[in-house]
Amino acid sequence: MAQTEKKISARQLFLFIIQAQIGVGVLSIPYKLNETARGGAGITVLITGAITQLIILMFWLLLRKFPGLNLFQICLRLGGRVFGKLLIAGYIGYFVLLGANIMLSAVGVLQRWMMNATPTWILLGLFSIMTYYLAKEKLTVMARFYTLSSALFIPLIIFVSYGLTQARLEYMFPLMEAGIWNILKATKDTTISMYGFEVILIIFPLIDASDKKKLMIISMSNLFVTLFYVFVVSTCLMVFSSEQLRLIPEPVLYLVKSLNFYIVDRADVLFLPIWSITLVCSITSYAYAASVGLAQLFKRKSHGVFTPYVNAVIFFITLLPATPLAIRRLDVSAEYAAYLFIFILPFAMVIGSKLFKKKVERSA
Amino acid sequence: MKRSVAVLGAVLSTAMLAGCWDREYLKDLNLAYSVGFDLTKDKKIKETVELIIPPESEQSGTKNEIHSAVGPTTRGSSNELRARVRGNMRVLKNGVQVIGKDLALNGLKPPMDVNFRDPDNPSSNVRLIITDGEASEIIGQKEVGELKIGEFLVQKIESLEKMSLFYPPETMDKVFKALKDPGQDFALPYIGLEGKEIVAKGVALFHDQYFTGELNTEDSIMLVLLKGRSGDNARLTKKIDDGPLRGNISFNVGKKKVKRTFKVMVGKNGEVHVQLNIKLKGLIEEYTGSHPLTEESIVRVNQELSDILTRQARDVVRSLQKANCDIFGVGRELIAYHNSLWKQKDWSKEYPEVQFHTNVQVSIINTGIIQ
Repeated sequence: MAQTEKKISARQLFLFIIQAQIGVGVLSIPYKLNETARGGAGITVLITGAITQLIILMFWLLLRKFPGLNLFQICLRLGGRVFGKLLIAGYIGYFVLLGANIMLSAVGVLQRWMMNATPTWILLGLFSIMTYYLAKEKLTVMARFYTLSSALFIPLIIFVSYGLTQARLEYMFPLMEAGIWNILKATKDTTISMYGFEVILIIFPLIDASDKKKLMIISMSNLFVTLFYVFVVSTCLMVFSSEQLRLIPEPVLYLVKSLNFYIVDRADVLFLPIWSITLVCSITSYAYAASVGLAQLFKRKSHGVFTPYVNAVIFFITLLPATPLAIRRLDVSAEYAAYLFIFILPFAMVIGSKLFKKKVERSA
Repeated sequence: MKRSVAVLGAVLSTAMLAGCWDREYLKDLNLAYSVGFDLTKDKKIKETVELIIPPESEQSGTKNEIHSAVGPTTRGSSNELRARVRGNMRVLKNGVQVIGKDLALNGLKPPMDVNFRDPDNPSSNVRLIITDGEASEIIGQKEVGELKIGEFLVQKIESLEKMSLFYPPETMDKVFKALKDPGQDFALPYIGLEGKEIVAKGVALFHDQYFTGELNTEDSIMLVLLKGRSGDNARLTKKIDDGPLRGNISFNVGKKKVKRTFKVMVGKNGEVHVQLNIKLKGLIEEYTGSHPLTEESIVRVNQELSDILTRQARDVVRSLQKANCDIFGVGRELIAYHNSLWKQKDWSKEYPEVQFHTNVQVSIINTGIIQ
């Protein structure tokens, strides 16, 4: 790439992917999995992690073929002018949709748990402003912020681990109650909380490491996230019985609320603001990806010009759905969009790139 | 110019962004320290609260007020109450909820729902207490000695927890857990009014959400020990009558850890056996007999006390089964390890038929500074 943008280091990449991946989903996956996989929820998460790893491998195969190019440039290269631009537009839409979805769930949770009286649009606005300031910057700036905020994982993990004092192993058993088929089927519910790793499609050329090392680092992040989820899910399953979990849509928060830290009565109120930072990182990643796409589409060098538009669109999308049904619909559409954009299309591109390469060789 | 815009921006944002909608000033709130719930004759909920009124001048102490109201549900009667008290009543600092016997007999799930549903209601450190009469009478005491009723109840329960009458503490969250768990029941502190005094009567046993039985104070301590737990102290007094060793012995088994074996086994025909053994280490605190407690006599004392406590433990287990209170979580063990059997069972019917094999072993490790 002609642009002389600074690259991020391998360590920053590790934390970048983690921050992008861990989102609002983890708060509710124990609840969702309790419905389907019962005691086997931990296994489900592990399987989801493995599937994610396969997709990451696929991405890597694709990106390695085109050194120095990001997803959008690959789209152009493979799809040609018209079709490539359509693809880019599709991806931009996808990133905006996912960003909006995360923001909406995040604000929903915040309102339910601590800010009952604050109007939704204020919270959405604050989130938008925060993400705007980050996403308009260069990747290195974002990476630095992500690294800094990764320190916040420590209190989060401590909060959740403290719940283990109330754990009772018997609540999780029998592990295979739901049957292996249901445990496999439940991976569908967890995939959405794994999303975020697709930012590598955009930032891959901007990492200062060899291709192999990049793959290794990304896999490490995925491993970390998977294990973190397994830990959270198992803790929740051991603290709550499954009849109780059925009533609690955000078990992680309920767990933190029920802890007694002597001085602090409601630790969830401490937990949520810390958590919000992680959510901001997730949304920022999507907003950044969408802005980079727009810059590519309009052949501009800097993506920062487009970030305000992206954030404005995200803000207005999140304002629209007011009923739980509408929110659910957005959730479902994000899920299906993800199947298309992170599985089917990249897969098609990998196949396409094989053909493409042959063509290049032949003409050469 | 640019600078003034920045300054203006900073001032505006501190003025507009720092404020939030979800704020409450302590001075505007009426904090309810203790709350009581009763069932009225026409099946409504009567709520009684103790409100803490902040002092008017700095020197004087806080005062409390008692109010009550009737409504169709817990929150309903709270709303009714809000119409009666000045300002906004909040339960943020609530430490104890007293529940009248009639309400407990009628089931705890409906009246407790709001406590679990509203995140503003504290639940991690709120004690639930059952009273044998009306909760409004207990709260209506207003003050006990120098203490306000809410403080008194909390302190009383906490000190009794240290004395192993109720242990581990049954907080709102634990009750929520047990209410929703088909394989686990719970017990709550049981108090009553004797004249003007508030007296601990033992524990109230629950099956599912219903109050089904009670244990007296000595048996409550035994129950705690059978759970394998103990507070700081667990004092028992028993009369022994074994040859020359005749007299009353008071001993404390709470100083050392209780060793417990708890095994749930399933027989050939699907009958459930529970092996429940505890080993206690006791310190003698009082002995009224004349025969000195030499090494040989301690062996006999151990034997005698083990027999007495085993008998008591079996009585306790019998009362638990009679009340259908699966407090040890036998059902939970079955769910986890014998799931297919659990699914065939109607646990509320079959729990009383579980065969418990209970044994208590006591060994005295200390006789104080005299023999």
